[in-house]
Parts: sequence; C-alpha cells; structure tokens
Amino acid sequence: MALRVIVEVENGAFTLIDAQHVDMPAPAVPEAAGPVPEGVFAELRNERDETVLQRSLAPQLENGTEVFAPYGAPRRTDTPPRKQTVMLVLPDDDLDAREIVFLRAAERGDARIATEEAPEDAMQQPQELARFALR
Amino acid sequence: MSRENGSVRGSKLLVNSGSSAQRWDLVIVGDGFRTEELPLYVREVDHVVEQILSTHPFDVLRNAINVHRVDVTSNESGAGDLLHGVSRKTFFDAAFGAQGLDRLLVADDTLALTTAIAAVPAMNATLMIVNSETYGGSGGAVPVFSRAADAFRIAVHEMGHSHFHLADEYAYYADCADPTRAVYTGAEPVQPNVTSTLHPLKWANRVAATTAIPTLPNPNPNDCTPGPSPVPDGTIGAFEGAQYFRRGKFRPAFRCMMRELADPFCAVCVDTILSVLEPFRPKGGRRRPSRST
Repeated sequence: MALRVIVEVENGAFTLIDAQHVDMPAPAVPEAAGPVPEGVFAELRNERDETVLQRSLAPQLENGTEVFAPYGAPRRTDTPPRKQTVMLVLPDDDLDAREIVFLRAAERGDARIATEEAPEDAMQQPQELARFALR
Repeated sequence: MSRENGSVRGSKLLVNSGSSAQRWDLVIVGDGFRTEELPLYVREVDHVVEQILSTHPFDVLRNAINVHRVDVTSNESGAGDLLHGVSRKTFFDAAFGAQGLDRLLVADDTLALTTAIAAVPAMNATLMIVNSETYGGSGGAVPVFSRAADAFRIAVHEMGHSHFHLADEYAYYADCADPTRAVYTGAEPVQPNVTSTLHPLKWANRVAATTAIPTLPNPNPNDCTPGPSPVPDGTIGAFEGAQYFRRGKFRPAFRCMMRELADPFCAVCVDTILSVLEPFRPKGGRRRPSRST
C-alpha cells in the first residue's frame, strides 16, 4: 500500500487537496546525503507524534522556475512566489501514520546564538509549516 | 472554472504491464484539443509514449510501467499566451508566458492530478501534452510540454526532478555571469546525482579505479562549460560544475539529460531511476507488456 498526498502551497500556506491510501507500491527513495534535511520536508507522524517517515521536498518546492528553449540548455530564473502543487507517494505499510507534517529545516550556519536555556541542538529545530490528519 | 471549458471523455490503457497494484502507472492528459482534434491527440500521445519508453532506462522498465491516456476535450484549441493577452478556453488553462517567460507553458497541476486520479486511481505520475507546435513546457507536480519536436524531453527531465529526486546538473542558474554562483561552500546536497564531497564519492561504486577524481576540475570560476572531457563519453567520475555552481559541486558525467535535454541520462541517473522504480518491476518470471491497439 502507498499513501498518496497532494497539497497546494501558495504564499507559504499549505492546502491539503487529497490524501488517499492506494493499493500500489510506493516508489523507493535513493539514499539521501546526511540525516538532516534541507529546505522543506514532510514527515509522517504516528499517534505519539513520533516521526515514522521523512521525505525531502527540495526538488518539488524550488523557488526558481526552470525554462527551456528549443535546442538550448535549460536554465532557471527567479520568479515571484506562485501556487505550487506537490504530490508525494509514500510507503504506507505498518507505519500507522496519523498525520503528515510539513517542515522547513533550519538554515545551516544559522546566526542565532545558543544559550544555556536554548542549547545549540534546540536552536536547530525545524519550523513546522502545516499539519494534516490522515484518514 | 477551467473545467467548464471542456470535458473528460474517457481513458484508455495504452501499455499494460500488469495490475496497477504492482506497476508504476503513468497517466497522460491533454489540453487544448477540441473534440474534432482527439485523433490528433491520440497520435501525439502514441508518439510521445513511444519516445519516452525508448529513452533509457525507461526502455528496460517497460514491464514495470502501465501507461494510460485520459481523453480530455477543450472548448477551444491550443494554449493561451499570457504575454500577449491571448486566452483560450481550455480544460486545464494551459498558457505560455507564465511569469513573463515566453517558453514557460503552465497549466492547472491540481486539476490535472485530480482528473488523472479519477480515471486511474493508482496513478503514480501524470504528464500533460498541450496542443501547440510552439516549443515550451514546465516542471512541477505535472510536467507540461507542447507538441513541438523534442518537447517531450522537457517532461522526461522534469520527471527526473519530481519523481526520481534528481538535481539539475548545469553549472549556472540564470546565466554564467552570476558572481554569487562561482563557488559552492554549502552543505552536501541531498540529491543522488550531485555532490560537494569527493571523498567518499556518492557514486564511487560506478567509478573505475583508473578514473581520476576529480575527473574534470574547473580552474576558472567564470567558466560554466569547461571541456572537452578528458575521458571517453559515458565515463563516470567527478566533473566540476553542477546544480547552479561553477565550482565546488560535481556531477557524475560530462553529459547527462539533467544537464542538457538532448543527452541521455548518465549512468548514475539511470541507476537512480532504476532503484526508484524497483518496487514496480516484476518479480521472478519476465512479463512482456502488451500494447493496446
């Protein structure tokens, strides 16, 4: 089984379009580099709000737009924020996922200073962007 | 509402490699085809499917992939042109000129996905062909491309991003003159086909012991296209200049579809696509896909 989730993202706001358990395999994921995601990523959480699966959205939520010319090389250009649609197909077997959470990783080299009350590890917490319950 | 500008007429399974519960189901939708243009749409889809399934590694993945065509008609033919104030009443609102870029052809991704799911509940990926001979396309959840020659390569490249986690391998962003993209000093990129780390190299299993690492360094931070390659075509190594930076990021091969659309996928991208679609490949006995007529 796979969990297929479709969201729209516009001006930083996430809207859940569809979330379905589908009788099909989930695509495999190539081994990512390093345990800390970059940019926006999604997590499936169980009923104890524990992360049971994490997936980077870096390729899907690029800010720039890729443009193509005939017989030319592609290039990217910065464009104003626009509505984007993202589809995820995630494994759904034995995960008991109850929610999908979208987060933005802390910037590497973030200039915030760790203090006794906020140790360095805690300063690197990702920012939660949206959370949706799964049926 | 764009869906008022046409209707869904049905769908057809074009390549049947087995149950949707076991295969990767690719759905193709069209926009800007009027009812009387459906035969044209059918021919274009057949042609594109053959081109995609002839592209390596999809050629060796035929028995893992089902292909469906969803027949959607629009009230008007073609695509709009936002730059020139031209609108077309089409089902998915396809239009050139998005974001002020004349070749950027976009459409309603969300409507395309929900339309594909309604026709093929086990949809894994959706592509959209737009009835225009002008070259153009775009990426996103639904790669969009026009009927122009070779525009299907836009969709193949964009599937590399949206379904196979592949990065762009070109060494510039908008152009080669950007001083902020001369040297990359950030963290290791997450994508499997670019790296900032030579030791250990992500794709070391693909590198021959006789291949130098780096294989083609880029001594000039102002040069986006250092070359020629010092190694035979197809050699996997570490070629400096990738993912929008001229130095500090490396790609596996001198040429690749993720760098230039006219090139084939390099072996590392091929490995990645094969690994992502491995769960969909028949286990045990070989099964030949059947082609509907």
